[in-house]
Amino acid sequence: MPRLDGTDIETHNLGGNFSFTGARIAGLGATEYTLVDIEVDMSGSVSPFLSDLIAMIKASVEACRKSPRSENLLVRVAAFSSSYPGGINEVHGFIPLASVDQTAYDRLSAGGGTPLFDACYVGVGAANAYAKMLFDQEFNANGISFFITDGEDTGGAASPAMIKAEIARATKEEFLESHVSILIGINAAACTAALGRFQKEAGITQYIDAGDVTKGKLAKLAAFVSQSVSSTSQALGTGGPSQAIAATI
Amino acid sequence: MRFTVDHSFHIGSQHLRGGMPCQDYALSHTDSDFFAAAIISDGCSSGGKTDVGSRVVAHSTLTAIIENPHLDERSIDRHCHDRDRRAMMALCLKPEDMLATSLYIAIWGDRAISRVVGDGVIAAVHRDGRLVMNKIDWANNMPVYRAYERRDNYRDFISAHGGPDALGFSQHVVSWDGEFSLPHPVEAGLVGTSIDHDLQMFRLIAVFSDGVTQVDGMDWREVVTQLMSFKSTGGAFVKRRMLRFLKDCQAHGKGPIDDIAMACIHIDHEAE
Repeated sequence: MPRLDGTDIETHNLGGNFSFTGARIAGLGATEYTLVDIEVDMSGSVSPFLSDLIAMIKASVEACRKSPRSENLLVRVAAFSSSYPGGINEVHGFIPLASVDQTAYDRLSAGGGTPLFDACYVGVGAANAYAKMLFDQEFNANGISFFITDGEDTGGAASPAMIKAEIARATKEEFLESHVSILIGINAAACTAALGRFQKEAGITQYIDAGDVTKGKLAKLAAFVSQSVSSTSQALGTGGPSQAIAATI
Repeated sequence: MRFTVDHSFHIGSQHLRGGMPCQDYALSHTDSDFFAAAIISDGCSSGGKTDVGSRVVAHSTLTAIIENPHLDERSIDRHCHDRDRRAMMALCLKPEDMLATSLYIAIWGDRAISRVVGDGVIAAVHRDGRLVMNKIDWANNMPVYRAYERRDNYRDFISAHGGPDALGFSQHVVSWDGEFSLPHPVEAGLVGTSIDHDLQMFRLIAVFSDGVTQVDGMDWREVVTQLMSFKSTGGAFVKRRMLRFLKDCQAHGKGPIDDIAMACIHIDHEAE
């Protein structure tokens, strides 16, 4: 198991002001990995349910530990808000589940606008870049990205076209055997149409409106995330994406 | 100095299509800085349940190596026979189930040896990257198995090869400055062929089953060269290399026709 004390984590630039981190590949032991990227909205509007949202992230990650494929998951969690420098706060890069420190999520705070496009662009770009590094070292990989938001993009550097190009590159170059991206709206009834439009423009696989925030809904969302991760990971090696992921939460 | 080890085995297309089990097996073990062993075993297709036999042979061999810190080959053999016999009794295996080769590399302290009882390939990469390969072949695809010693002290085997002096097996050496073959009498290969390695010279030593000689559309030298071209040497490095190799094979052929196995020791000379 890698020691994630800083020496086993590497930082990689994505171009522009964007970067991400990941476990040093020489320290990884398995033959294949599913890259799981979770981008969570930390704009000011999530303040009323911030603690429930953090609990949902924890529950998602915790549920992944119970997956039969838990040893083959590398999980990255990032928060996005215009209050962060560059709009993205990477809580941790792609690391094995055993190395995830759940208390790090407690340090997230809400505020600022919603650089949703930047988060999606960096999330898919990080998965692509890390997958290429894995591929070059003969690991097989596939990926799943979740973008959880309660509102529309309020400005940033990336555009839906840039995200679409990055998503297309994900499987075209074959570094990722398959890649699924899911945009999830929570408390987002007012902007469902806009998010649906964004999903199509950006080429995101699926948009799911999770409805209003309640503890029960967020628990279901956590279960959905972990089940989707498990399903994606089990599909690794088959050459295709996972079985159809439920469109409702 | 630090050792990392890994192994991989894969069913060939012939056995896969015929609903047969994979009769190759591989095993590796290390304590990181003093001991390392990498073993493969190839069960005879016309034997009995040699998929089980090859596993027993590999595990017996590993245990015997661990029990013999001075790497005395004959002592290792005695311990192997002892373990094989006990496993056969415990699992009600028949002599024909145990017809399986045994190829291993073992490192204890500063001594390293490789040994072939049967057929297959030993390959080593020098610290400067040069590759040397040593293939052991038996005539008429009839390799020696250590089970023959227990059965009749090799009598039928020697007879099948035309007597103890018949040139029944050969050694084919390929290195950066050429290649040559040496025929040997049957008698010389009965208890196996051993090579002492200068540990300081190499960074990778591996053993392969004869499956490397039966990869569709590829020469065995190319197969071994590709399988020794590791991109990294951590964790499941042999499995990763084998899986990528098998995937690449699909682009220009059917891949391994026979089962294929390899086990490798990586020697990190820089590690403290």
